[in-house]
Amino acid sequence: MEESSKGDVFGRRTFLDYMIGFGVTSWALLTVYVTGAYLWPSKKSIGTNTEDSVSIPLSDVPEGSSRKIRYKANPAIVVRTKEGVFALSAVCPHLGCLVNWHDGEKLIECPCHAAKFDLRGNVLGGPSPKPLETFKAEIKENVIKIG
Amino acid sequence: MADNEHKDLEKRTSFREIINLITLTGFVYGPLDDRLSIREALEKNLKKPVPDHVNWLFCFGGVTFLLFIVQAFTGVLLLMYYQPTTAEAYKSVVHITNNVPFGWLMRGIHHWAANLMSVFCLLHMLRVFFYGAYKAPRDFNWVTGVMLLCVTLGFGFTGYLLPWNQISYWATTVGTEVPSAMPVAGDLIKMLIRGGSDISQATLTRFFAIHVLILPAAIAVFLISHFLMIRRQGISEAL
Repeated sequence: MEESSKGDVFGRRTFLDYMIGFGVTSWALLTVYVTGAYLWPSKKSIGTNTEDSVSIPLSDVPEGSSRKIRYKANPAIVVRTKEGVFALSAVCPHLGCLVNWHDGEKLIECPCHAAKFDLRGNVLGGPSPKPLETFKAEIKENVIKIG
Repeated sequence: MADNEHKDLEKRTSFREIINLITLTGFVYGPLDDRLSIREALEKNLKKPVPDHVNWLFCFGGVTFLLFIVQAFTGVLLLMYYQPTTAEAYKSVVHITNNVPFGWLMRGIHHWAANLMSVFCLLHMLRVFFYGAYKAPRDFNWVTGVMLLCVTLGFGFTGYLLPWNQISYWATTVGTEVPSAMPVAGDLIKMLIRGGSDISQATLTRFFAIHVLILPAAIAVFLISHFLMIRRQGISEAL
């Protein structure tokens, strides 16, 4: 036994080393896959709404107020004024803060660096490099339909 | 014939070098080893000979430690979705089990490895006891071992409440009622554990903090001293 394994390059010990290495590596890869799948934010695990159209009750947004919703998985702001309802992306194009509606000044303002927008998303002032994205919004009986 | 063998050896050596280069060993045994002599330290630790009388019963402690590593890993993953509030705890556990990919697996492993960890703790203690391995000079290691058992049972007790279902609620009610049987300070201790007179959000927050922060820190301290001492003193003699 001793003699036969002595001159053998690919002996029992090396073979076992490779088998252990192979086993540990495959196990590690499997763990990485399972952990990745577990942690990756999916529609099912995080539960974000990705539908094309969102409806909220009209009574949730009284005239002169606004509400933040999730539209196509991203934050959006719905504003209701005398002129009707408006839906815009709530993510400021400057550095990604969520914008607010200021009813007194009749404009949308970002709380981080005071970028100002009108209800069509146009930049009125501040550091925003481009306008806010706007979405179709309409009042249908007692609901506001976005998209 | 001899020439052929020589060629074979050459081929195999280069094959091995390629494998080594693309694996971690290639890095650990290569550039890192040049600077830190890791190979020497690793071989000293991984290839340390054990006495002849060592048998499978001596594995129980190592198995307990392996199960602890499993618990730490799956526990951190469960933390990514678990919500420690009375309103959300049960919902989030159901969500992990039913919606998160492999969530059922992580929760299942955490549950079963927890049970097995207590079992292997006790088996390890039985082995140490009947081999008389707790005697001096290893008596202090027995003390740290008992502390580790207490911490393990503490993990079990606090973790049992976290799913916030009927069995965990009532088990914690009964479990925290036990110290109140003690004279004088009993009721105070019960109030301290519960964070109030009954099981509430305060209890859940407390148990959560103990389970994920205090006990992990405690077990690390005792594990390190447990391992350092057994390394220093070596495995006990044969029966």
